[in-house]
Amino acid sequence: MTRLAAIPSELMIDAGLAKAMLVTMIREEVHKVGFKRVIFGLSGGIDSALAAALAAEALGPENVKGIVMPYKSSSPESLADAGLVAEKLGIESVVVDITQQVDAYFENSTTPGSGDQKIWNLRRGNKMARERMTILYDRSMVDNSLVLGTSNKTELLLGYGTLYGDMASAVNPLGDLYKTQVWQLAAALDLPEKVIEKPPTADLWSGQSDEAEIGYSYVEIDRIFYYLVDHRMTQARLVRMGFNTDLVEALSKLLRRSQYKRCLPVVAKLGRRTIDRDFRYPRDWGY
Amino acid sequence: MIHIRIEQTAPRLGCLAENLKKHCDCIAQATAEGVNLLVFPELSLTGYLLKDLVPEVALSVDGLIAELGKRLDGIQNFETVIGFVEETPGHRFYNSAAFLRWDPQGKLEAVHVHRKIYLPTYGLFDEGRYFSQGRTARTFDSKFLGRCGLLICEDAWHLSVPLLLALDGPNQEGAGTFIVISNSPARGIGGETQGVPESLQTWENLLRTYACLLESMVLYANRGGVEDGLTFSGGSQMVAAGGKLLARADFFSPDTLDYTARLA
Repeated sequence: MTRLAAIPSELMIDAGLAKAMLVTMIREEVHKVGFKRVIFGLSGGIDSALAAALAAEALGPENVKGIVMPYKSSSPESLADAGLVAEKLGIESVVVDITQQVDAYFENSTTPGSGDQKIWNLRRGNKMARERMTILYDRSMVDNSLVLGTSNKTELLLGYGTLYGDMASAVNPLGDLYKTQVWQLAAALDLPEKVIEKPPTADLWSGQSDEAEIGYSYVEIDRIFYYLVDHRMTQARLVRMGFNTDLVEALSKLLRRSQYKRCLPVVAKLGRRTIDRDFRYPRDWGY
Repeated sequence: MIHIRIEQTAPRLGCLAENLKKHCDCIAQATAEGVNLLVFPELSLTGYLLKDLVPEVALSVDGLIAELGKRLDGIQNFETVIGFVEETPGHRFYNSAAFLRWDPQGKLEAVHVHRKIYLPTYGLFDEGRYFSQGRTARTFDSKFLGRCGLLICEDAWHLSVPLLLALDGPNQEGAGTFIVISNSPARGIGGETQGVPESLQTWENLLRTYACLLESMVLYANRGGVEDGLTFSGGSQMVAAGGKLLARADFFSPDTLDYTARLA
């Protein structure tokens, strides 16, 4: 596969080991809180396909449900790929078109307009992501299931996701895997080559491409994040190592500016014990 | 012949009563199966990522003995290592390990309590925030293993603790067996790992080095299971003096590791 051939050695993972750890993690984190099932947004991309494959292995395919939530501008190819993934994994998938509920909001006369096309696209994209989130959480209650996250480490570090939209979940098995590592694990789990090879896209409009929008390839981005984050190297050192100065600076800035998306909202301290400051309990408290 | 067992558990975080019951079930089963010494991992009574739960799950040594005594009857001639949060009368909290013995008459006593000396407070660890630091490393006598040293996780990552235990005791003969208990989360999945997390590979190097350098048997009890996204590596093992691996438990999941040793 061309994508795999381009991955440099520092980003290579032991896929068997990663799979064993993630399957254990999903099974335990779902079962210990009293659930058997997960539900997730099945986009037709590789992230949701991988999360689903791991969950199907951990919980059994009968306990994994994908919700495909196209908007009118979503690519038909994504819909077809979502079906391909569901069939391959033997999981149930349901299509819920979100066009009506998204358009109803923007067509409402009290919703402010926007002259700038870029802002407009961003607002529409965020609205779609948040509508999808509400659908997943609502259905998770009906199915007595947990919402499975599909955000990978690269997009979490970039802030390339919608806060309280696609970033919302109960359990995220992919959050410590860079995009290039998602591809490796997906290949090891025998997910469709077509889905691994196609250009990654947020699919907010037809023909959109992450890499075109960000301006750099995931291989370049992942290598820089690997050294900046995992090895705590300075920007100056990365430049000395031969990385593109502009890209190193741009990624460092994105990392800082998106930190808020990776935190709880700021809570003003007033009392003796304040949530997340000096009221500290594990998430698995009581389970 | 002595029968050693390592119980690689996955405790429920912060659920003291449930974990106590699990320990008692394991002890009852082990004695029924002829086990002489049963080793549980670090903080086996409480789980690891306790944070502000530390005071809520703490026991005094006497309290621990009383809790076990209430639940277990008829245990004789048996030794066990249990990891727990120890509270002192002055309300200090330690990450401790108790080496307990039921004598031939069924009386239960604490032979030795080790308080973790090196509290990792870096990276993903924050123990220095919640626990007081142990100050001593002493050897003690096991009826089955002879002179032993007990270390908790990070204690084994600093030369001073194994060195002190290797020089302690009558005639400075030191420990002949080192019991290391831990709660080590698996991390490091780079392409060269060949199925063993990098963190566990480092552990295995350390354990073999001590077994070789100190010419002592090393028993390593790690935990399995998951807490808040941390997957504990398991891989508990017994290493013979000199460094030969005798037995190794499964990775990540609970497991029971048995070894029958012929000791001189």
